Amino acid sequence: MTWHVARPTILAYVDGDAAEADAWSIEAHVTDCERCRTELAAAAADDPALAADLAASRTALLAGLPPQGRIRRGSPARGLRILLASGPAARGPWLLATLMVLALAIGLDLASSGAGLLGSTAPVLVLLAPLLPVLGVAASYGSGLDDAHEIIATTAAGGLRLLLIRTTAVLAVTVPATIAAGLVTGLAWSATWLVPGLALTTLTLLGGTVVGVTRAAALVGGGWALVVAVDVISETTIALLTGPATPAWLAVFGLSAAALVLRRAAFNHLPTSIRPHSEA
Amino acid sequence: MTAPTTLGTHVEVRDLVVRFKNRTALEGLDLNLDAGVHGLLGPNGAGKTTLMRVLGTIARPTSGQVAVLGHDLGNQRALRDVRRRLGYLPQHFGYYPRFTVREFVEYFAWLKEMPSASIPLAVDRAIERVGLADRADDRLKRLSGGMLRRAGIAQAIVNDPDLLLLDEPTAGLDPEQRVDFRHLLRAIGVDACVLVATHLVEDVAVACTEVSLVNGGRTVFRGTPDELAAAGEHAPDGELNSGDSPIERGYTAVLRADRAR
Repeated sequence: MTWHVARPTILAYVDGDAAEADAWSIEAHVTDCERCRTELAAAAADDPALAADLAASRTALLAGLPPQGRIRRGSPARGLRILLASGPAARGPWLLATLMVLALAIGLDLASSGAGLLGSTAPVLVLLAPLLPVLGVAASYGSGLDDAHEIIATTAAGGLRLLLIRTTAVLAVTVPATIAAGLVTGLAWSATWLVPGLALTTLTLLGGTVVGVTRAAALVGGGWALVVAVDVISETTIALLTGPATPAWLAVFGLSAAALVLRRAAFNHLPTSIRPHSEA
Repeated sequence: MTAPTTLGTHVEVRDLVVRFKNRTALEGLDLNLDAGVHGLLGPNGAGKTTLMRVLGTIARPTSGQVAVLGHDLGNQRALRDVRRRLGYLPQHFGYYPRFTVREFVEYFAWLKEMPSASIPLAVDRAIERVGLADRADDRLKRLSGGMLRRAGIAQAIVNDPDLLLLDEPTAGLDPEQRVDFRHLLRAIGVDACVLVATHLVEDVAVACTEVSLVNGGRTVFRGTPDELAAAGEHAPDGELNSGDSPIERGYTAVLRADRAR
């Protein structure tokens, strides 16, 4: 485009004062020229009469549309359903694994009457339950597992926000399931195994800002397994797994959650380990 | 529809360098893009996908300046604003097989933080524009490769992006669909900036207003498709295998000239 409409002419056109020849010329010009079209739109943006006109014609246009056929009405419930249904295929197996681990823990605890196993005095549920949400978070956000992660990473809500929604979904499954398992084994509700689970989950997310969620889950899970192994081998319940340690776990939970908020920008980009599959 | 919010330059890249651990993907690349359909050509490994990822805000530059839609990508708020106005389709994109086309597009509309009142209509319009309206309620696993690609394009355009990045979008489309797709690109390119990375030179010749040719991590040619074709006319006679169409000959000539440097 070699010429552009002069500013006074644009203003005159917006006010309806432009000469007829000028108006024609402007209308023909803006169909091809982005710059003048944008300028015209900007000049007309704060004209209340024009805005009212546009709103009226928009309403009329929408009222006159044919019935929408199979268009789904947008509703928060539908949004939530789609959000939860999305996610990596690994979540199905994780759900199955959660139920199996809980069933196993219940079975072992009932068989040993809650007295522990293999020399450990802590109930099996206490040893296994905190791992479930960690695995769930890895299964539902690990970028190697989510098929659509590359597009998701470019979206406004695709970083920490989506991760927290998926984590909440994971906790919404594991917490009630673990409480139910606790009731069945007769341990009743106890913060001893709920709080470590929450703390390990936020630790995983925090670790995810450094090494990626999948690797962080492996590290945190490995660390927990080490604690459990020490507990089993030493034949005494180590302090980390007992009720008095709960305030410490709460502190870990609070601190890692706060650190996560500070480090949220780390979820803005693809992990550097991800390269183009094939440059084309 | 909203009024276009960007005046002038949509993409401004200066001296962009991207290095991975053992490899340099982009080596001082410059690129300025306005509204219109721009083709990004180059041989395999030239750095096209890396450039798309930098512009898609998901890969960080090692050095150099990148401004997308008038924003520097450094701060959180600007990044979020840019991402709401971005459409992106990578070459390999995963999908959830059990989702219907409509759910898939709706999901990304939500992730792009569109106002929920405008989502149903926008989703339908996007699906209609890629010609999948009659399959909107089919599950993705039942679609052919070309249809999947079009569902991917639908999610990219659902938010009427100001910057649309498409990596090899015509892979898997049959000739008739490619013609429809070029029409769609031209319609979107009236107000938005569309960048199409492709190795199909004929797509560029027909659909694009401008072409940038990338080689070895740098821009080695920038001009209209006609100018690229003209670059091939001066190729020395007797040079074999330089291409069948004028634009292919231009492409080969520019690349060979760059390699000879």
